[in-house]
Parts: sequence; C-alpha cells; structure tokens
Amino acid sequence: MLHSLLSKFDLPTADAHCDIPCGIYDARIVTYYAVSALRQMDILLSLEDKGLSHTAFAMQAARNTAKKEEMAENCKHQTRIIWGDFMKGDHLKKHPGAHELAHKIMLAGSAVKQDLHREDGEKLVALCNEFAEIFWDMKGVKTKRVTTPYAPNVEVVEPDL
Amino acid sequence: MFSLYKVRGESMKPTLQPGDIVLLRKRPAYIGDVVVVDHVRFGIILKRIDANRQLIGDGPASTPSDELGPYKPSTLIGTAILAITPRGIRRLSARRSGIRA
Repeated sequence: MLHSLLSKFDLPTADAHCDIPCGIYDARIVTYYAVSALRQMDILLSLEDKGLSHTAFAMQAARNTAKKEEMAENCKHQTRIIWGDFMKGDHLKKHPGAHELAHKIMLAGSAVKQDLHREDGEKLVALCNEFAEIFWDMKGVKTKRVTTPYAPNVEVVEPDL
Repeated sequence: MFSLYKVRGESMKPTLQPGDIVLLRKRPAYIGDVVVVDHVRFGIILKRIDANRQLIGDGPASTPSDELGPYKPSTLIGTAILAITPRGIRRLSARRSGIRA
C-alpha cells in the first residue's frame, strides 16, 4: 500500500546495473578481434618487402604492433565477458570444456601479443571459432563456417540465423 | 537525512526488484550495506558493499565488481535502510556487521 502510494511520486532512480546492453552477448565479437589480430600480424610480416625507409618502417611497425596487441587484448577481454557473465549453470553442464577453452584463448591471445608467429594468430582464430560454436550451441543457434570476404580470408564461425 | 529512490535494473535481485523503493539514510556505510552512490562511470547506482569493500550486485546479471571498483565513502548518497516493495516493507541495514566500509 505504501509502495503504491509512493510510486505515484516522481522519485529519483538508482540503477541496479546489469551489463549494458543487458543480456546481449555475441561471440562474433571474439572472432572479429582474433581475425583482426591475425591481420595485423600479416601486415607486420609483409613490412620488410615494402622497401620502406628505416623511419617509415619503424613507424609502421610500431603502429601495427600496437594494434596487434590491442586486438589480441580485446579478443581476450570479450572472451572473458562471455565466459564469465554468460556461460553458467546448464551451459557448463553441456559444455564442461568451456573453462579450459577460455583459458587456452587467454594463452593464445598473450602469445599473439608477445611475438610475431603467424601460427599463434591462426591458433587464436581456431580457438575462438571453437568458442563461438560452443557459445551458439548454448543459445540453441546453429552455426556455419564462412570465409571472411577480406584479408586474411580465414574461416570463421557465424550463427546460421 | 532521509531520501527515497526507485530501483531500476535487475542486478540486485532477489533482494530488490525493479520498481522497488528504498529509503536511504545519510549515515556512514557498513560492510554488507546496500548503498546508493554517485559512481564516476555508472552514475547513480545501487549496490552492496562486500567484505572486500567492493561494490557488487546481488544478482548474477550485475556488472562485474572489477568494473565497479571499490566503494568510496565520498560518493555515498545514502545507505538503504528500508525496502518498500509491493510485497511488503523490509529492513535492509547491515549496521550490525559493525565494520565501517
């Protein structure tokens, strides 16, 4: 009764925040960042063939290295959000390997940040694809594998909507 | 000294539901208290202070506490002492924990 009465007044609100936007999780962002990191690796690996001056080489390498690390870190961050906030309860009963997979992505992402071995980037993409398949299965959505229509033209897992 | 706020969002479930009203008292908060703070990033938010003085939600959908950060007394708007809900009125104060946040 008191609640009904008070509700008639224009009271200030206090947000009991959920993640914003609430309940929206999408594994495509994980593969997006993994592919972006791989792309940065490819650019870095091709720099020597471009005949750049020392200064131009250094600047280009610095920029792409920073971007490579940013993309790999974003990949790790987004994985942690989906793994930590979305995957729980029955999801994990169905996919008990999700914990180990998320951990592997953390390690692979770090490897991409630390060095410049293309196979590390490929491994990150492959693990993220696996993660995406599990994620969409948890949501009851079928998946398909498509090749990105842009470099590095790798296969990624997409929801078959 | 006292103020009323309406709850928006679901992160304090099951303690508080969206639309519930909390009566705040302007007094220092204790560990375990539900507080309304003026958060630098999230604005006016309603959270609980846990044993590590972190702001947390009671529900699983809450923003992770590492994003909310630690409770800062300077941001305190008030401590929730009463929940006024369609289901009745309940006390919320955790003052008996005896540990200032």
